[in-house]
Amino acid sequence: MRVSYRWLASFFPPGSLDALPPEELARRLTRQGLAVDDVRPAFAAFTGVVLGKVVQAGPHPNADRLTLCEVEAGDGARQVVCGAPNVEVGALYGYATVGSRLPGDRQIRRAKIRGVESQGMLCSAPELGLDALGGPEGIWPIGGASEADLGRDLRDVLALDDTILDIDVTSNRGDALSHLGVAREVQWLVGEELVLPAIRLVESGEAAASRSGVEIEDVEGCPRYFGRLIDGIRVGTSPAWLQTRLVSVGQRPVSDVVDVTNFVMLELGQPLHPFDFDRLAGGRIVVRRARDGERFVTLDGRERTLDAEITMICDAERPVAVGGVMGGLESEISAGTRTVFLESAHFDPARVSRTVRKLGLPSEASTRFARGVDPELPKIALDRAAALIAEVAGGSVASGRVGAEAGERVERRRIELRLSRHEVLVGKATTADAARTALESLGFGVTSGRGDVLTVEVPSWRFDVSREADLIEEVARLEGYEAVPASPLPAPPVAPAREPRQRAIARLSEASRAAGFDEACTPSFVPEDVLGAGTAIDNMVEIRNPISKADRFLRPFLIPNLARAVAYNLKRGAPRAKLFEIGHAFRRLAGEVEETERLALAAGGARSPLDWSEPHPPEYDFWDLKGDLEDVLAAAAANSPRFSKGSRAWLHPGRQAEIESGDGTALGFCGEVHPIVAEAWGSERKLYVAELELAALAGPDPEMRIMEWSREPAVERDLALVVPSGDLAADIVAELWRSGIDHLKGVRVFDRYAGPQLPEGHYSLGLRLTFEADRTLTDEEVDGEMNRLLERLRRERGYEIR
Amino acid sequence: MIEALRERLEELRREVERQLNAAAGPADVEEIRVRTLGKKGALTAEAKAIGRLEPGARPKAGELVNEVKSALERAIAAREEELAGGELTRRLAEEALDVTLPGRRRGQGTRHPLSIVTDELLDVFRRMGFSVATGPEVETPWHNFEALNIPPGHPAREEMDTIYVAGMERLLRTHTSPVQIRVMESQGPPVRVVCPGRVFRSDTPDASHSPFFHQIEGLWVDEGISLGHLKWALIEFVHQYYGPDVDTRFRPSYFPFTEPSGELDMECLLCHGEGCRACKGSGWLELLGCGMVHPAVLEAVGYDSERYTGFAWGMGVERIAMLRYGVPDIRLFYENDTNFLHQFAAR
Ligand SMILES: [Zn+2]
Repeated sequence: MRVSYRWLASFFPPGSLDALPPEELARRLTRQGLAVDDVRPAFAAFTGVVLGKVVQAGPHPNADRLTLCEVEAGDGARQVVCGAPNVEVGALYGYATVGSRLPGDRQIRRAKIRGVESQGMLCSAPELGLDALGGPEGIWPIGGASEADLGRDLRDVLALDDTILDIDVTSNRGDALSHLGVAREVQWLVGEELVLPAIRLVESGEAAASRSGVEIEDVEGCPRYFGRLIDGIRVGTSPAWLQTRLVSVGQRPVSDVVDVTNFVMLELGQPLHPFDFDRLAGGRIVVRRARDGERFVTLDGRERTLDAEITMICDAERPVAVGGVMGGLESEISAGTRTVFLESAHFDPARVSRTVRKLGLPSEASTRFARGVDPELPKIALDRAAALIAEVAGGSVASGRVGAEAGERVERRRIELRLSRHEVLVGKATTADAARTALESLGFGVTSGRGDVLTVEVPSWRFDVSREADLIEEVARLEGYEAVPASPLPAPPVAPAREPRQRAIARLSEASRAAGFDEACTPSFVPEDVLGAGTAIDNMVEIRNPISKADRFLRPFLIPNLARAVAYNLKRGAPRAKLFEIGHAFRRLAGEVEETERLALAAGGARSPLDWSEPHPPEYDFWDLKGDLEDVLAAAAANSPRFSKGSRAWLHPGRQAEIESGDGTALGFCGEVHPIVAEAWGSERKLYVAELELAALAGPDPEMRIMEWSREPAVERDLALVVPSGDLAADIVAELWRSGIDHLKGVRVFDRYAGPQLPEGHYSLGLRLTFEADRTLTDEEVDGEMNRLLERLRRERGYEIR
Repeated sequence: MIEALRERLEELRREVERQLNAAAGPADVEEIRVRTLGKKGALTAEAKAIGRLEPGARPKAGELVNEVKSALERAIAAREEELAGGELTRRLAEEALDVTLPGRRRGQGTRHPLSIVTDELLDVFRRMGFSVATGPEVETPWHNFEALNIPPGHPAREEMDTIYVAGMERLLRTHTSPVQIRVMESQGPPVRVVCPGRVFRSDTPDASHSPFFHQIEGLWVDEGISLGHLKWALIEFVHQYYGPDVDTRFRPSYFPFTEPSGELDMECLLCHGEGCRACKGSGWLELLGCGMVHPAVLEAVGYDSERYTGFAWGMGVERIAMLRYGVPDIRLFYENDTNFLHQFAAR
């Protein structure tokens, strides 16, 4: 909300605001809860421009397009050459005298233009930094100015020396969306009663009620509706003072009638709507609910489909406006409008808010109605605006208002405020007198004060105050939060330790980083074609209102966005990229959203960082991934995880594994991304990925006891078995463990070989066996065990020694 | 005869010493040793010849031979050591490296700046007595809105720009406050928690907006908790995290779930209150929103709002990280460029 300092000052006796210059006022309002984001001059600076009148105009002797003017500015006529096409004898203009300075560091000097001397310049609105004003082209006639002001500085005539305070009004304070509302807050600071603008309403002629009428059917949506008729209007542009005031607070002037309604809205807070009375069928207004599916063309030219929750303003035949939101195209004020029907009504905040959401149609009016406009304001604002329209657009106000209201007076809430409760909640005591003064300055009525308790009546414009705590805030903020003493917390004697889950996550993060993965943070959204290859992922969670097509679903797992980030880095020339992320993934499950926490790893590029001693390191491969993963799993105490062949369509069919813990709990999966999918993710190089479920890994710290180990020297034996290609290494190792030979303490794969020396369809697996006992083992003993083992392998599996 | 022996021995000793001097390496010395002292060596032959002398001359001869033998053994050992030492020195010289060449790094991964800041903040609040609680990102309207005193149609609900799940009454939480509701639903007072997590708004991404970002919210509910406690806790936090001399400003504001509500501003870290671009000339930076828990919120979770009071606050992790590390664009956090990520190795 942009607030004009001068406009604000007009609500108080002259001089009241002198002790609070704009910067100081901004500081005080901010401390009071109306945060002022910016304080700036209302208009661009210029000097030496006065009000001047063109007393004579004729052609320039040497140029067709130039006009030779005589300009009177109170001290004798001066000759000015003007290039604008719209010079009018008798009109008043901004006259930049010789020596004046205009915005954009432009200085006006005495000059000869095509051989004729020109003493200064007549100004267009943009030349004065008032781009929003004036006609389409040419110099700017200062409408509504008085000849008595000839020669006066234009800044004074138009009150341009003003300051704008940009206030960030919180959503609960609809009442502060007007100069009156802000003035009520200032009242506390200046200690003066505010003065409402005088309403000089002159009624004449036939009563409005004889030609018009209002009928409210939708009392819930519109409890109050009033109108006035203003006849004999000649719609034109507003006087300069009105235009500049609107422009100073960011409102673009439209026409005098519309400008007045905007002016009164910004002044008092009541949105108003002017109709062309001659276009209202039957001259009547009916306020009713829209019919489901009813259609209506709003001022912006778009047709909208309505429903029964929307309040419509109708004439005798059809809808003419969406109540409290926007008028219709057909009854709009136009240059030909002769009689105005001016609407001033109260609409239900929740209904307006819903309508705005439904139609996607916010407006200055609807913003105010949705937050709540003072229900006692419509009649006052109506009279104020009618008087102003008659003043600036030259009409006459017909006698009396038409309209209806549910109940003459709005019932005011009464709330009890306990001073003791104030002290508990704020941590600082206040007195009955102090609380009363503060509340009364904001317009609250304090009807009784007995001991600890004040009975407080809430003013009609404060929709946000409904409970004792609200009143406590009002008193606390006026007394100032800085006055509240800071009291140390009654903290527990021992600060809490890190939660087991947080510890587990920290361990996983540390292990991932130790394995060379950088922590990443990727979006939660994915497009429908996550895999980019037409392979759908089932049960993804869809977003009703996505930001873009690429954000239509919640990520079903973290890998797609993480792998894309790896691809992005490789594409940008990074020799290697290894990223991990801990985050949430989503699936639909039995009509609900199943949300799981995951740890994902993704890697590609060189196996190791660039190093001069190894200029061409091998590419990261499946075994690097599995090794990294095993390190991470070890840190999560998920020892002896089992890897089995996986079957996900978007991974390499022969290079992927499902992972489960020793006790069979599913932990996750890993693999090489299918080359088609990798390409869709932007990578020409191989991508390796893994994703683990945290639920299985981030449990409480497991109990552990160290295990004994032998200090006797271990005996090692190497074994190269020739086995059929289909036999998996893990099964062969398991077979060794099952063999029941004595003193076996370790089995390690040290070689895998397939080649022409071996029988067709076979490969050789090199295994190193470690034997240990609590005494020194003899070679004979170990050889005996080895023979037993080989015999068994030959017998049970048909394996041969290479 | 003894004299002849003495001369021969003397001659042998000179010859061996000459050879030793000429020896190029330990192998030469070994050869000399074998030739002189070995089974068929020259000196060994002299020793064997003693037995053929007349008995009277034998002791003297033996004495002479032993004298020379031990002298040669010493000379050989000395020369051997001398030569071996030179060899080692030479080998070490050959093994010298250019230590200015880069080391072989394993490439330890880095922590994401948002994690770094989150952990730092949680650490400060833990020391103040708060525990960490987390919750789901897909929420019910009840936890995200109704329980927080934001009924349907409430203006604040419109301003939140909520992202909704299609086909069910679920939404992406717009703040981490629903975690506070879940904690209070699951336990009675006192409650002291901080809730970090990802939140969502229907914002088009630009330099300062993202449809998802991260928050940390805190809640302390007990008997007799006041705005004064809130003020102390948050100013204490600023002093712990930013330094004891950083000025703060505590001013009224509005949130539906707190009453009274406030915002805590902190002296601008860049201009120290003078006014600059970062603080839009005000000298202050908005740090967090806070307030006394609205009685309607306590009532929504079944707490006695007369007996218990509490305070809550919330702040954006990205904003704090942007200020702390001079990150000019929020999107840098989610781009995951390793040129960006690797700068946080020392954090
Ligand atoms: Zn600054």
